[in-house]
Amino acid sequence: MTRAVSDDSLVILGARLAAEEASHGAALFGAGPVELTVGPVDQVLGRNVIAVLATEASMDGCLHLADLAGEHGALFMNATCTDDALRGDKCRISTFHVAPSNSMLSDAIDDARQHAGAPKPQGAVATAWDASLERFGADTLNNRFRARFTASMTGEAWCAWFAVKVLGEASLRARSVEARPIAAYLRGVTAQFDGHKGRPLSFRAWDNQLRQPLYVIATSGARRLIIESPLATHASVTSRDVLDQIGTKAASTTCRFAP
Amino acid sequence: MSIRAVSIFGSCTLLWATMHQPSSQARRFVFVSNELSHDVSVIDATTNTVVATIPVGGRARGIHVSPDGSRVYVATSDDKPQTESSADAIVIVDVATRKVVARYHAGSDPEQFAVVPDGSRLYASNEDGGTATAIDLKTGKHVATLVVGIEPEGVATSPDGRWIYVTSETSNSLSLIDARTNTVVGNLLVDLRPRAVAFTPDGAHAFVTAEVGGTLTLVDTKTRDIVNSVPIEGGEGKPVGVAVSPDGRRVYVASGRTGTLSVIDAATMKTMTKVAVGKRPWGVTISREGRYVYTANGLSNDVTVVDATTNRVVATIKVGQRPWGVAVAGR
Repeated sequence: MTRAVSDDSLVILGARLAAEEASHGAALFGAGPVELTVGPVDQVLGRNVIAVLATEASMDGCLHLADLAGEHGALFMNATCTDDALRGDKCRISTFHVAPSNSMLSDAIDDARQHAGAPKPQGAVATAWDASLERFGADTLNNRFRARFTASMTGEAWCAWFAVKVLGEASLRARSVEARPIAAYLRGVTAQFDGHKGRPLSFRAWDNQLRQPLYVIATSGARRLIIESPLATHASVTSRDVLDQIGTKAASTTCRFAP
Repeated sequence: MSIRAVSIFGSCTLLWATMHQPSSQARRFVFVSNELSHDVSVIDATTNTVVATIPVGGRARGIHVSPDGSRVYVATSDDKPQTESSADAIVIVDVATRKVVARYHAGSDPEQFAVVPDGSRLYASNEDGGTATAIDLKTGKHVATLVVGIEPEGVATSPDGRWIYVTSETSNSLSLIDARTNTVVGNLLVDLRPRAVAFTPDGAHAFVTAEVGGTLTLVDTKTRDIVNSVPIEGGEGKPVGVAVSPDGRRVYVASGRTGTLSVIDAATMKTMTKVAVGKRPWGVTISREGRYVYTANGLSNDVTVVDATTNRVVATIKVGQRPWGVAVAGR
């Protein structure tokens, strides 16, 4: 966390696009812009910081940043670390996981196996996002990202984009620029967000993990979508129930939020 | 006696036929924009058959008929958003000749638009620009460019032409534009991914669909407040298109994921019934007298005609590829 971050990090680009868009949205309602500071954690984690994101994906790094943020009264928006432990024994109530957990990612691969009827899908990867996605307005978001940075929006870029987007939106809806009311809004029973994934997305109460569809993408040859996970069930099931089919369930969580 | 009776009957039949032989001017045609085949299908509404297909040279999405019924406006864009090209246009089709008579530059990536009731201007949303453009329909000149939210989509004009409402999908906002001054006078935070907006005939209210939020929201146009918001199909329907009946009593909402047209009581906002239409219906419109409701079904490449008096499907008409919007010309 103390190393200098490179400007081309896709996490930073995703966060930057969201900050620009959230600032545009905030201006419509007379609110101030969403400011983004990039740098070593001891330089960016100062006063009035609502949230921090990590640019790296090591569990120790994410945990360290989560604790540092907590000490400063700020939120840690996890856009990079997939470790289940961060959503389990090492969970923090001030940490919100936009990055999918390893258990969600492996459940998505299982869905692809089931879909293909094959033991193992060859040349495939599970991810929160891919530049080849088109449905549910994914094409417009991919086009915006590419037009702004001349780069493809990756899973990490989407997670960072979404993390900053929900902060901006929660700030507008909760009418606050402070971490605590924003966190309370994110954890609210009715709070849901649009991530260009076709379903309303929300944070699970038991571990602050974002409920979201994942995508299994063919990586051999031209990138293309193999399946969306969880696999579609009948329309009578709510989005929440559908999305809770992947990852750690409430009944099996080891997360105990400190009061 | 019996011969005479037959002859009277015969002449009556003839008279009936003459009186009801519609002139081509008064006939009703339904125009459908096809996003993938880059054209407009023309349906004769008396026979419910496609009688013409008009190429428009771009992804055809928003479509409306001029208030006098003489022209059809179609928003087209190229397949490369973020770059402006000649395909990013409002294409003007003459209803009588079914020919493209003009092509107005409309800013980048125009998607939806509304024509003001006196026919003088239209307001188009520029999906990738975060703006709405006001265009003079006589000259094609841009009268104003207004900053709205990110990814603007649905546009509607109040019946008196004073207000233009624009939804923005990423910002979850509804921008209220005063058409007299061409300024944004307010913004409302609405539900997730607002797609379309429709005013009631008295102009007192507007209905907004939220595709990901799964809701229909009612806005009081005087107080500029959200009055009510109700889930469509338990919140899972993905509502997009919305139209209000001419008598203001019914609201019709097209839900993409479930392929249904929800018939909603405008006063209570309760769903009265649901009609199964084609696959991924987005565009929805109503004939002028309120008898027929038309949906453009993007994934089944057809238009569904619903009789509003019985809420039954009376016709399904194959059109072009990925139909997006639908508009009615004539009585």
